[in-house]
Amino acid sequence: MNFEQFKLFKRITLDYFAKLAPEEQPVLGEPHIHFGDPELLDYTSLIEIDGEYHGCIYLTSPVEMLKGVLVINGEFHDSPAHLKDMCQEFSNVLSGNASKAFGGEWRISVPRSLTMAEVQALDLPPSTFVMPIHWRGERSLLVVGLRANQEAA
Amino acid sequence: MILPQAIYRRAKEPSALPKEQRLIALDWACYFAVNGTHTVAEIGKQLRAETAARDESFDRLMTLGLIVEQELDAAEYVRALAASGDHEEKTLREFLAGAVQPPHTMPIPRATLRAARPAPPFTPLAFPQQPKENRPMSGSRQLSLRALMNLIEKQAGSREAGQLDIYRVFVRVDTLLLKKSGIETLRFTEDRLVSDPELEKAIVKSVKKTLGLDCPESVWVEVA
Repeated sequence: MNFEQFKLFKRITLDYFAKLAPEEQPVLGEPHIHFGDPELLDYTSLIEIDGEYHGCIYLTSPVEMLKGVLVINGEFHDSPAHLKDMCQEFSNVLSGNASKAFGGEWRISVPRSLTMAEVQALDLPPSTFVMPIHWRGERSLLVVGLRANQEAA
Repeated sequence: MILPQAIYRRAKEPSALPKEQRLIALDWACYFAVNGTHTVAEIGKQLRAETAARDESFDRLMTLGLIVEQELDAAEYVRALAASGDHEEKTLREFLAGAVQPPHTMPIPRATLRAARPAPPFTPLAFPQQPKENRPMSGSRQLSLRALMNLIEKQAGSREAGQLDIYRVFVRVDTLLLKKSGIETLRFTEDRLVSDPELEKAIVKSVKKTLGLDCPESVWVEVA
C-alpha cells in the first residue's frame, strides 16, 4: 500500500459522505495509531485485504450516523436489520473504493456488515491506523489494520 | 488574546451541539482539531491557516463557548511552547515568557520581567566534536518517539506520507511490548520516551527493516 493509493482511497471515501449531503462536508480528524483491542462503534463495515501485508479496512459507525444516512436515502425505518443494511452499503462502498485505489496488487474480500459483538469475535490486526471522520455531529472511524507477512516481519 | 502555545479543548462535544449550529469551515476544522493536546500553532499549521485567520477562528469558538483553554502545569507549558514552532534564537527568559507574540499582543508586565531577571541568557550546549555512534539507550538516554516520527515525516516528504510510514514501522513492533510501556494509542504530535530497552530495540529494528533507515543520534534524548 503506497501513499498515493492510500491518499486516493481516503479521498474517495470522504467524497462518498460529501455527496450524501453536499451542504455538510465531512471533516477528517487527526489520525492516530491504536494498539491492542480495536476501537469499535455500533456497526462495522469491513473488507479484508491481502497483498504486501495481510489485513483489513473498516469503517465503524454509531447508530445515529447510520440512521442519518438511512433518512438521506429516504428510508425512515431504523430497525437493526435496516441499520445493518446501511452498514452493508458502506462495506460495498469501501470495497469499490479499495479496488479503485489499490488496483490489482491487493486481493479484496467480500464486503461484510457486522455488529460490535460480531467484530469482537474476529482476530483483527492488533495495530491499526485510525482516521476519525466527523460528519453531521457524529463521528465514524475509518481504520486500516495491517499485519506484516511472516517473511517480512 | 490567543497565544500560539495555548492548548484548547472542546467545551461542548459534537453530540451536544444544537442542530442549528452553523460555523465557517475553518471554525469547524479548528473545533474538531482541538483535543486538549495540540497547541494553537500546531493546529494552525496542520490546517495551513494564516495566523490571523487561525486566531480569529479560536476567538470566535471561545466566544461561542464551544472551546475552552486548557490549564497547564509548568512542564506542560514548556512542552507546548516548544511545540508551537518558534525557532528564533532567544534567551531562556524570552523563551519562557513566550516571546512569539505578534506585535499587537499585550506587553509582558515589568513586574513579571523583573521576577524573571535572575535567569541568565540561554546558551545551548555545544554539539559534541565527534558524533557518537548510533546505539540503543544507556541508563540516561531514551528514544524520543516524537523525534523519530518527525524524522520519518521529513524523510517521507510530507506529513501524511510520513504518518503512513510511521504506521508501517509500528505494524512490525509487538503490541504487547508497546502496551507494557503504557502505549495504547500513539498520536503523531505527542511525545513519548521509550524506557524499555526491548521495545526500543524492536522499534529501531523495524525502522531499519521497513524504511531502510538507521536511527540517528538525534532521536535519543538525555534524561535527567
